[in-house]
Amino acid sequence: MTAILHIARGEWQHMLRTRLAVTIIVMLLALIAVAAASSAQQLVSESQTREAYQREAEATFRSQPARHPHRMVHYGHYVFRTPAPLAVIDPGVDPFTGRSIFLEGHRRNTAAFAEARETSVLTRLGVVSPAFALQVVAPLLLILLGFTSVVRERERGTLLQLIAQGVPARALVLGKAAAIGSVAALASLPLLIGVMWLSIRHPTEALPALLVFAGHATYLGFWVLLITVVSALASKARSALITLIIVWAATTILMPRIAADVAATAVTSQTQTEMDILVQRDMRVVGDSHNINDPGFRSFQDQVLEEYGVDRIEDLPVNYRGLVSLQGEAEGSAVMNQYAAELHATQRRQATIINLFAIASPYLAVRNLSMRSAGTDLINHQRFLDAAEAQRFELIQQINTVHANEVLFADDSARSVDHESEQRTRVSGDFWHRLQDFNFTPQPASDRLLAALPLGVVLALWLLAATVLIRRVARKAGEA
Amino acid sequence: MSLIRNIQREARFVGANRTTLAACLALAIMCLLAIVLGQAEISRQNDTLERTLSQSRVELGEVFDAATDYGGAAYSGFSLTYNAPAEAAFLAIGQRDLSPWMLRIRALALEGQIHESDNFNPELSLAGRFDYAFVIAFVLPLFIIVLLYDVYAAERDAGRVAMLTATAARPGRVWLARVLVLASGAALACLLPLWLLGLVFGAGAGNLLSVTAVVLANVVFWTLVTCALAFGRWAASVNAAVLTGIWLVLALLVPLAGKIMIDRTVPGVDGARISLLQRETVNGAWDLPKAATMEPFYASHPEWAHSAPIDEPFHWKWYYAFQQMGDEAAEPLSRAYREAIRERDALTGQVAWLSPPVAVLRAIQNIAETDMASALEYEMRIRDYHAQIRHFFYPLLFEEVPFERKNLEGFPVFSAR
Repeated sequence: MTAILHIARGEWQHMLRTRLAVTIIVMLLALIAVAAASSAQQLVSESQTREAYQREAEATFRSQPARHPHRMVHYGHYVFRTPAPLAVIDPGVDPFTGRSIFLEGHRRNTAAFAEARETSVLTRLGVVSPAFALQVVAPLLLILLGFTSVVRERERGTLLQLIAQGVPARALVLGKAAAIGSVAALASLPLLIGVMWLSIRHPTEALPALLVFAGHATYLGFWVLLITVVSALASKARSALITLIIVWAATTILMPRIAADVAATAVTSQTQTEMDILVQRDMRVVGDSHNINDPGFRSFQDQVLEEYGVDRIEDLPVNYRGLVSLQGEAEGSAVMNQYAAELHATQRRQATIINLFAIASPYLAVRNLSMRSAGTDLINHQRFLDAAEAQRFELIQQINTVHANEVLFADDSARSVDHESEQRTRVSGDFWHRLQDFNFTPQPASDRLLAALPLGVVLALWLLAATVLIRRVARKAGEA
Repeated sequence: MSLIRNIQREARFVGANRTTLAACLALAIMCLLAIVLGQAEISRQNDTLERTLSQSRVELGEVFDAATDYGGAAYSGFSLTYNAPAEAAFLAIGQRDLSPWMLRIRALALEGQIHESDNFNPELSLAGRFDYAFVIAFVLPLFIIVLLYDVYAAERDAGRVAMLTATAARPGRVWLARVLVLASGAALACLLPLWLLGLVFGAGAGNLLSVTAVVLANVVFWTLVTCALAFGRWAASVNAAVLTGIWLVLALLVPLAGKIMIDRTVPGVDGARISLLQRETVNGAWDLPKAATMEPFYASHPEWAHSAPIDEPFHWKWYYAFQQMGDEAAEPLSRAYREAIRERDALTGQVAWLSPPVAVLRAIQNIAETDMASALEYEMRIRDYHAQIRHFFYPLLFEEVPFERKNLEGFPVFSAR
């Protein structure tokens, strides 16, 4: 143990002596600090804006004057996505997804206004966030810091000298790893502080936050061991560096893109436009609920007449137009949800393929683990879309019920041609107060942990592999 | 003459080096793969487009056949607009996996339709695409560093520098030749796949020449940077580390710093504001007297001012008039939104001066017509087409022409460029 510490201290002194090492450490810490600060600031202002918009949209809806209920179906409502608390650490797919959805009758809209559109060229390798700094930049900087650690001693001939002095080879290799590892620990310290602060502010997020930290710590641990192993195996410093840079570029820069392209090619997905056309085609079968004589509602009409025991729709105790709106929306929503469910399943299959590539890239393992735990992944985006749809359906059917119960059929039929009837079809603005607040609850922590678990296992295996390697290398270095 | 002989000798020498050959081969394979994957994506988009176009035509025909009045036909008659991939789009997917390249629109207020996004899988967008532009901008520099960082140090450490320079009449020529051979190796590894597949996939020789110029400029830049250090006093491993650091700063850190800077200087218009305003104006019209809509509408469309006054609570011409007034109310915000995007794009262009990888990406996306300018141009074409649709229906609505199916025959078709 003391021998390991001795070697680690020596390596530290070497790092501090070389200006390169000091530069790297300062760069790494500065980068993480800037990323955390900018990410936190952006998230806070983003959250406040979304929150304010949401309240404003709700207030505007509730303050609408007396209107025909179907006007309110088209007036619609907006819901906004507020970022998950852990998005400060890992924004995940947030910059690539729309931030607001317009809820209206007859349509299931997409989320509009994604941020990434605006400066995409600059963020093609990643967005500013602590997760990006630790997942992509930190390994490269650790490589620059540590590639000479063991091989330097070999090149100078001090390796054999040390072993001859009685330093165990194991202590030598582990000591070097400890020195590089301490820099990695220093780099992940801001993350630990952030995780603890977030856990206090959002106690339910404590476990996922801890997993995010554990994932990054494991990932950096993997790199520390790999760097030491490669440095110990190399005969020349430059071949150690080249090997490590190739591994880094292949796993961190190339693999994610190849995985995405493979996923997109293997599982083809429908564009929104194609889906819209198919929905429109299917909706023709359902019928246009604005037209009560649409053939699509003929059997519905018979059924209603029978249920109420009357012969003509004019004799119904409720407004038949409202009933058709209710029925049309229910059938239409079922059609749209079916397409949406297919799309979501397709996208999840694509995500699963990308997940499989985690076996070939520890970066993908930690990236996906982190966004799955943080709740900033595809699954949570889809959850937001589904929650918005649920809110839409409930709101529209609430209004359609008002339409059926509060508007007289005779007035409703004459409203386009007769001013007095039109006036009578306007129902009190009090009905709009019934709008429910939009409360999107992110996926429960336990589900997120479950989704992240397989990736955690893969990451642990990567660390295990590196540990096995370093033990072998330590033995071999002793034989040399 | 002696330079050419030097080059020939160096080419033989370098050709015998297995690591160098392997590196060039790996680069060439990556370029091939990137082009093939890019082409796969673009041909998928072309197939989708073709399929959707015919579906959309059929659907529009069905809607028109079922229509009983012009207002209803305009209400349900969606038609397809699209931004077809340009010849060289497979070299850089660019905005085509972020911005919609197909959009169905109808005669209603456009601001409520034009900001719709496509349903891209965000976990695919997150990774970005593996296209040729990416390989040239980000991966090629790393290969040049690997090939050249020890061009001098390797000989120095092997003790061959004295021998090499003693036998040469002009020592500088020896190094120049070797650097030229290695840099050309990297350039050829990128350019051969480009021309081979580029011509097969029909990118057009002019585009390929422009991309070639970008590749060569990039090779020259990184060769110069690498050589500036490679012929210095430092050890090879220090050179390699410093060069990787330079790559890290230029490829990753400068763009991210630029992003933070741009976010601060041009905060951008919140898109949600546009749709909120448009919706208030359009829906508010229902509660206003007809004149409140028709007077401003006739002011901006005097050609229809003679149309008969509206007595009924509902008339389609009033309906489409307030749709248009909604667009006109949101116009300043919408314009500001586009301006903000343009301004951010211009600032990104300035960041490119400090970051060659960003400059390369922008240049190739520009040639491939998948850049922001092309996405915005598509948006403007949608706006023009929407105006055509409106003006197709206005005479039918405002002259109160009796409904006949054949009057819908002249419905404008979106023209691809």
